[in-house]
Amino acid sequence: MILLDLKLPKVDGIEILQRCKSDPRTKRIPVVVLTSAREERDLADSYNFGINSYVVKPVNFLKFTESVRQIGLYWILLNQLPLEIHPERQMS
Amino acid sequence: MTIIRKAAVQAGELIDDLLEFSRLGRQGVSFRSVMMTDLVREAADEVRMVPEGRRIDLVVGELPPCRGDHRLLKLVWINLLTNAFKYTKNRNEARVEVGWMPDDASAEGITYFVKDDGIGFDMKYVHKLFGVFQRLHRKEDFDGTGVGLAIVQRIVQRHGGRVWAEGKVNGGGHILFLPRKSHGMMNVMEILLIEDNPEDVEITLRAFQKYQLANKIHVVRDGEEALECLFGTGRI
Repeated sequence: MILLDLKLPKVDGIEILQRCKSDPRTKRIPVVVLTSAREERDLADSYNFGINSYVVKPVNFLKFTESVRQIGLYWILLNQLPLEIHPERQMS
Repeated sequence: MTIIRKAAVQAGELIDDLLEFSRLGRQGVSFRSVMMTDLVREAADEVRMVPEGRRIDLVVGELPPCRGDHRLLKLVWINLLTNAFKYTKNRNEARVEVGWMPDDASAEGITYFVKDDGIGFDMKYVHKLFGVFQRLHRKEDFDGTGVGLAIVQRIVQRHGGRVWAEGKVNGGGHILFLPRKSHGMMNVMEILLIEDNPEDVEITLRAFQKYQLANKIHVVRDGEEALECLFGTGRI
């Protein structure tokens, strides 16, 4: 799973996302955006490139911890992933 | 006639419990994610006990989910709650608490417990508690077949875990269990955290650790590192 902050130095988060979702080796990996801002533009772009979830980081430390807990419990325990997360070969 | 009927019912219950107990050994188990809080609530609904003039305060904490057999774990809760409700008969207002705590010994274990403030038991006899037909109280005082805790132990052991008890005479009972399966108990998932703010990294890592979400977490601080990690030599 990838937890992605959109506001990154050097290479933008959206670009990382695009690279991940367009490469067959990585496109199955669930991407959860965990970012400080809730900008409509970012939301639209993110979902366009196929993120699995978008979560805004709470400012409050306790609420942030609680959010991470919920994300973790959902993605690690409840959600099912395919056995082959990184398909190596192209199906012909 | 009433005495005979009652004995027949009790014998019937005993046979049912014994059958259940032996069946546990032979049935397949299917492990999947179990939402424990919901399961406890379901179990509590099924424990139909009509306390005459009694009030039972059942407090169920927010329990972390675990990986296990849904049906069997429900049976565990049904048995534990039945006991807790039963052995608080001495009180008009009883309190039964269901909760959890992290396991000291391992990073992945979670200990669930049921605590009551009822009649309790003498720790001198704690080793007898989980035996089949072992009862620490007189049948006249407390109904039951003496198989319940044996069933609980059998199920928890099938989950690769253990169950134990703490109690005091008239000081309530405390049954704890750790349903840890030795291999792949929790989904082991590799996580790539792409975050440049060091405080946020810290909070996130601590949260994963605190809630027993034991996993491999790789942290990268910028986009370039992230790409290198994903597509470069160090593949996730």
